[in-house]
Amino acid sequence: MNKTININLANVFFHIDEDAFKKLDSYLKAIERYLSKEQSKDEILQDIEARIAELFTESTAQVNQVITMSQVNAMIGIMGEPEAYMMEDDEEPSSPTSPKFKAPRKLYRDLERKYVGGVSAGLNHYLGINTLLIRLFWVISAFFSVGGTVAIYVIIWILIPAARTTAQKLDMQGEPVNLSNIERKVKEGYSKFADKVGDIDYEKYGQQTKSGLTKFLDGLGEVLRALGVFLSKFLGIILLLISGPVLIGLLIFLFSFGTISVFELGDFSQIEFFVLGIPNWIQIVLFFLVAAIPFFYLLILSLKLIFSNLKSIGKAAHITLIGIWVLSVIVITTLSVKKQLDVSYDAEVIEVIDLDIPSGDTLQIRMNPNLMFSEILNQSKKSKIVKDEFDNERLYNSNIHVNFKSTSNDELKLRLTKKSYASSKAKAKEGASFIDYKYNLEDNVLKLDSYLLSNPEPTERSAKVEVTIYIPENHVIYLDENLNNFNNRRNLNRSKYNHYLNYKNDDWECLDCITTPDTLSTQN
Amino acid sequence: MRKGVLEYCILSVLSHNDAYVAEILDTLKSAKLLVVEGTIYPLLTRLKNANLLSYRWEESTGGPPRKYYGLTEDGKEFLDELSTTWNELNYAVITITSKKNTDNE
Repeated sequence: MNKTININLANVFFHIDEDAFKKLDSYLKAIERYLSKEQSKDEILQDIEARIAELFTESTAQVNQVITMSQVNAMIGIMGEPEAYMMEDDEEPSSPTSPKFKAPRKLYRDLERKYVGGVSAGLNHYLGINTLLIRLFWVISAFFSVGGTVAIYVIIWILIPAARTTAQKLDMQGEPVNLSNIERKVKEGYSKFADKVGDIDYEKYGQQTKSGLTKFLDGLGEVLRALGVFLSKFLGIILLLISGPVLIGLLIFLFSFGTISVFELGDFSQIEFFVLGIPNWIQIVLFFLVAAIPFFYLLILSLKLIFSNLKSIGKAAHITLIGIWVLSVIVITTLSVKKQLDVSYDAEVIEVIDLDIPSGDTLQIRMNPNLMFSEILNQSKKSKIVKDEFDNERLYNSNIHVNFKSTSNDELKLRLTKKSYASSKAKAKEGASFIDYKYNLEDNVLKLDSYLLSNPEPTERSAKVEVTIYIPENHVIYLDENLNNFNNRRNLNRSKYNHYLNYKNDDWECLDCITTPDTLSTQN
Repeated sequence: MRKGVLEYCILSVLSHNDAYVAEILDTLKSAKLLVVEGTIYPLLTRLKNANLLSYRWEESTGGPPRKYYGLTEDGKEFLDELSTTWNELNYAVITITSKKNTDNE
């Protein structure tokens, strides 16, 4: 079975086999290249197309018969190889490799000098940079980007066709695409265009098929085309410089997130930006896909702009990629919405306790961690299943918030709010009643648990405990530094911990602090 | 050189009556002057651009419309000139080569 293509040759309609079409297309393009110096190139090409159409019509017996490879070959046998069209004057030695016929260079993979995929050797032809340097670049950058550039290499490998035919091999070594050549083209176009302006009233041109104006426009067109090529390559390079590093960054993110802490910025597993209630690695893969696929397309676009002869990655690949992307977006959206619904209702259980401390005594407040459950003393919404001392499974989290308030009363009071969020009022109420939170007052030391425990089922609930301590004026308080992570008052200076303090009008007053050079300098 | 001869032959073919490309080609091919067709298209266009040839479109049965080429007044003059030159050249060549032959004998 063969795919056929419909073509229009000199206004005659033909069905043609795909491979035959490719051959015909490259044949016509080759002729065009050979005739590139000819003034009436388009007209000649039209005549040639008309003749080809005639030959095809003659060799086709039935109306709807498909043009095959053998017919194209027969046609080329009659018409002659592209070289035969060359209209050089006999004196001039001419060969297809003479610089006049050099087409712009195209990027192909060079299979003859390949190590892996021939990408570096192809880039060597295209850019004129030493192959060894290009290979070194790949190897070194692969180390620095944790293999990220290997992915880029593979993408180029897939997208860039290999130079198989002689024509492709010639194209590969054609005129180099570099700035000086683009500049030369713009200049050539411009001088042609300027010539035409000068020659407009020259009688000779009036007699030729193309009027002065047409030539003028042709020249202008060439200038614009060359500029367009330059701009598209420039844009392509910029897009490549954006999409390449981003893709590499995303790949690093994919492989390192949660396993190492990059640049000592902290333990990423503690970050709670996007907690979807699914295993961490699935979540990371989802975010990676959503972000990486658009940048992958951007990379393809940039490569297409830079190298005109790129292969398509194929319909199946497109559909798969877009499908995966849409699916990931849907999954993330659904999970976020679900997560939001899970916490749309809340319920509270409140206790108020008098702290029995004589007004002259200092109250020490500190957090009381449990090393059995966690070794990190930190406020976190993240839940996990732990085993308590009776080997029962409990849901653990350290979502504890400690607040302080002034009171005109003479007694120290503690207000405990156990809060639960769930997808319905009833579930939230039930959840709040399950929350198990302990504190301990002994020898004027208030030890607040740094965690709460609740029922392991159902897991989608989220729980929170708020501890508010009401402090009478002039009551001396000593805050342990380990409260720092649980205190909601961010304005509480770190230097005030581990000191004796008074609490007045919602502000701390230090009783035994030595004025630090820091505060002195701010006063100056 | 060969190009010039080809141009002369094309003009001669067209001097009798107008013809379209395939007919010109048939004549040239039967004389074995031309092996592949491709060469003729740039030549025809050049001759036309030099105002030696003109063409008109004619419908054909089945295929695409055909370009019928004919000589212009300039073309006829040019052909006369060419014929004279050719005859002179021909005479010169024959004289020289036949002399050689007699010398050798």
